[in-house]
Amino acid sequence: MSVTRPASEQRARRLAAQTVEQGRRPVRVLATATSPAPVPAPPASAPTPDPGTARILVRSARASADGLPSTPPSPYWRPTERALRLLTVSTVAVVAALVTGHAWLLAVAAAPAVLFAVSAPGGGRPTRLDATAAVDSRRCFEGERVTARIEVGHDGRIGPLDPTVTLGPGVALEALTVRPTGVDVALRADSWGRWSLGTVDIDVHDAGSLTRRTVRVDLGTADVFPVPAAARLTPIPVRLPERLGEHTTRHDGTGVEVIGVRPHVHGERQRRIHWPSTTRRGSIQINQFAAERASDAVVLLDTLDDVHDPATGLSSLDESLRAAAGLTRAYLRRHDRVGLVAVGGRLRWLGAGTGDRQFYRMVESVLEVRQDRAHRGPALPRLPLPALPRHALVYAFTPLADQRILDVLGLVRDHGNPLVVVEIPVGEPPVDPGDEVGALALRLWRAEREAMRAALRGSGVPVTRYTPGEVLDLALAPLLRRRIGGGSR
Amino acid sequence: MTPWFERVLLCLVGDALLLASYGVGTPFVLAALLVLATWAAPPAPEPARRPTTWPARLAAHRTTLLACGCVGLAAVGEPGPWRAAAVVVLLIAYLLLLDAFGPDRRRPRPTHTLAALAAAALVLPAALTDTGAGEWSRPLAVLGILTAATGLALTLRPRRK
Repeated sequence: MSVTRPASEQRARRLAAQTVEQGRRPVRVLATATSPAPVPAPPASAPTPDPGTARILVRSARASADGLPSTPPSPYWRPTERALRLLTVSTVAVVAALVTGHAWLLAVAAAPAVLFAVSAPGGGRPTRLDATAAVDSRRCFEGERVTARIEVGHDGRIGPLDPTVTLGPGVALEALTVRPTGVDVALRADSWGRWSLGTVDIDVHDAGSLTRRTVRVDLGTADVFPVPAAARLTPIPVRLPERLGEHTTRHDGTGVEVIGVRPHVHGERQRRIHWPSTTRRGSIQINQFAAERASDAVVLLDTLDDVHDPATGLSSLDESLRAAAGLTRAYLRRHDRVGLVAVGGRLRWLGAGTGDRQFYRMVESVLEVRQDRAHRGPALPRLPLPALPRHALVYAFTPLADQRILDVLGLVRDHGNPLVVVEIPVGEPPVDPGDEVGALALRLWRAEREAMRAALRGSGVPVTRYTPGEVLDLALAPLLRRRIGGGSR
Repeated sequence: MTPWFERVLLCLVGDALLLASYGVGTPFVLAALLVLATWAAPPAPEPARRPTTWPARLAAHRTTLLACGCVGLAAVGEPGPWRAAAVVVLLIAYLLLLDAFGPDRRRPRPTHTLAALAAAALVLPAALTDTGAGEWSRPLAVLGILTAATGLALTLRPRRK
């Protein structure tokens, strides 16, 4: 079923190369809110941060490991280490002087006491402190930078700011800049999803660094979209809906592709006359054009399991959505309608639609599937009929790790839709050398997966294999050999 | 100024402060104290976890402990005027270096440095002068210190507008 012809493979590789040349991510920024001044990007050489910044980064890493804070910070001013040090040394010297009777120790006490006194802010300490954050974009693609500009509002005089960034899960801190009245942080999310960016606790010191107070600002959430896999091929099913599009069919129509000539019938337009055939046959012949139709496609995402490849660490859920996003974009570029069904946790589906907006609607509808673990159970929900238009080509992106997906695919076949299974590889479980039980389990595991593939191919469902990092066209190229047939209702 | 140089400078001043406070002693004890001072003089790096045990907490505040320990060592000894002056000057220098190279990276103002030195220079000669103090002098000193501390606290109290 998945044997690749050399010509189709060459074509796929050529298209893949063209796709890569054109760039994998033509859309970079999805939405821009109030745009603060950009955070200066760190130089490429990544120099060693200064001790103050390094201390903040270490503390932020510790706070992020502990998780997002659940209790609010203290609303009161509290002494700093410097104030405690000066007061402690002064007090110890005074007590020592009184106990031992060495009056010269009062000179030791006087110096830190004076340092404390001259640093005291007096009436200049602020009575109002708050912090606001402006995030430049709450929608981005994986790996893109999200910058947040935090401003500390206050009255009176303040000293240096000492921030601690507690990052949300899946978010990394790229750069941090402390300004006299605020903090700029640059964050990055490496995998798609709806992530909490985290919180920033800013220790605001008074002008003399004797007391400090903490203000907290929540950075909110960000929608991180997957980077679509490069794909340009759009295989089509045997039957296409009666809607104008870009796919050439075998029927007569008003497209641009000539499929033959036939005798002229009175009333037909003269500009369609094919003159070479007319002179050769002695009667008027006209060009015959193929009809061009649009296609309906439905992306079926298997979210039953999120399997991580032991060798590469890649997540099957991540790669499934990346591949599905690439395929969706390829169909939408050809003005086809694309829908979505995600099975696994909560049933999420979106009716078929067209246009760029449909791409973002589809991805947004599945951004929270990682939080569906609580909804996963042994029973699968029924597929909604409106999610599967008649004769729509269904692409099932699945790691084939859970046999329940076979039941879902059987429902699709029963519905009469043509079906293609795109397998997302998950690697193999590691087995120690000499572990006979492990080796036997690995053989059983392989046999089980091969049985699932054989069951699908036996029922006439093409199974292709998408390799992460490669273009999706390589997996779809074998489907171009013929049109994909559907099941029977 | 590189962080390495800052640490060396803090170690040197801390060692000198300890030597001035302890005075002359057995080489073994002196060496042990110097090793301790070299470890304690630079500020502790940011811990990976917030310290929860007492030894960890004390280690986190070891610079304050070093300064207080030196004051205690000087108090139990009988330093002469010059050694007492050296202890005062080195302690001021150590505290100012900690402000400059410590976690807060707060560069001390020259006026603050001068004020601290002036206060010590004002108190030290007066303290070393023989006044023929008797039994009544210690309660009087306590009273004077309490008065000064109260005045200082009232002066620094944040005023509500």
